[in-house]
Amino acid sequence: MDAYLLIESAGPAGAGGDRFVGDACRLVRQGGDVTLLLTQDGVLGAVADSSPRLGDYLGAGGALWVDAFSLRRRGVAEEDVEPRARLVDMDDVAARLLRPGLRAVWH
Amino acid sequence: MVWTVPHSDVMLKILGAPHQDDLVTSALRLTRALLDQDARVQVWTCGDATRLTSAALGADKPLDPADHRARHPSTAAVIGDLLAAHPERLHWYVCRFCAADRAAPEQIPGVRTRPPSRFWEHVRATDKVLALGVC
Amino acid sequence: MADSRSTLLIVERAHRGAVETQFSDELYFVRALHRMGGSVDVLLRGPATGYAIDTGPVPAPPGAHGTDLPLADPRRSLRALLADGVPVWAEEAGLALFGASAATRLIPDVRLVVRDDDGPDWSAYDRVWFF
Repeated sequence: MDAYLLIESAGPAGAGGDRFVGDACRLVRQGGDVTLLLTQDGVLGAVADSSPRLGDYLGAGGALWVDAFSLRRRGVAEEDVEPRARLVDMDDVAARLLRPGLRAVWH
Repeated sequence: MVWTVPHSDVMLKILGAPHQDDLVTSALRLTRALLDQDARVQVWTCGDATRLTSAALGADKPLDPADHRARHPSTAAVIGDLLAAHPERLHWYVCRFCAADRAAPEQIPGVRTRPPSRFWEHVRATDKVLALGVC
Repeated sequence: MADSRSTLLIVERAHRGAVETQFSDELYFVRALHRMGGSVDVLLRGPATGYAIDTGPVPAPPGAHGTDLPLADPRRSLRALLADGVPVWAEEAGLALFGASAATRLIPDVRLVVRDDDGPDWSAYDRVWFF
């Protein structure tokens, strides 16, 4: 099974962000082991109900990580975050990135 | 003996410009996290990211007129400290063309300037590449 | 020489390089403009409205040699602006980006703009600059 770490760094209104979540959806539907990490302004996409496309991705079985440091810097309260998201730090990201065979894509 | 690119577990290819978003902060956080997990890391910068390690930056940011006593390290100093702390497992490379094009031909000690024609040697010397940002 | 004409500065973009800016974030420069004799008011829109949220201290990530990465703190700059008496507005529509609770967690003295008409009146300023 192909494994991916897709990293979205731009906010929901940023160029191509929604499209990138669409890429994540497609990879999940193709059977990939996909983790979508939202970092920097990308964490705004983790605000509950802010992104229908993200709902599609989660519904298809994709994993959603949210960078806790970026979240705190931007003032988003954990209670306002999509419940299916897992808050992570860079140690978690590094561990996943080091997985043999994993492909990582930053947007 | 001919120098060859040391093998790395991860290459971070940084293209995005400083002062636009938190790309540089994220790259440094990730670099540190990878090093903490004993990974070997190489960073290749292109475009405006080559200015992060410009010798012209010196060790300090310009003084804060509101607080002359405080010293704030330049990005070059922050990165230089990281290189000094991990000399065997962290290597920082700068694209020579981009550095010249962005008026940053002189780089801090510990950073190696490389011709763009050698870029793929660096890619072949790593297990995976994460490309951060666009020019 | 002090400029008695007034300026509305509108800030939309946020988080423009924490390591690169450190103390010199965009709100620091707003304060500098104010202190250099300009009469400025500030409107935070879009992603920059997040600066108006009272987050409390956010621990910095580690750097080298046991130190932390030196990072900007734009909310410190915002508090300094407010302490100087500079009017600062934040649009509720922008705060919605940061979750349903964001508008209830503002830094004291930030003025909430609920409807467009509640915010600073552009016609009252000599200059309106996006900053």
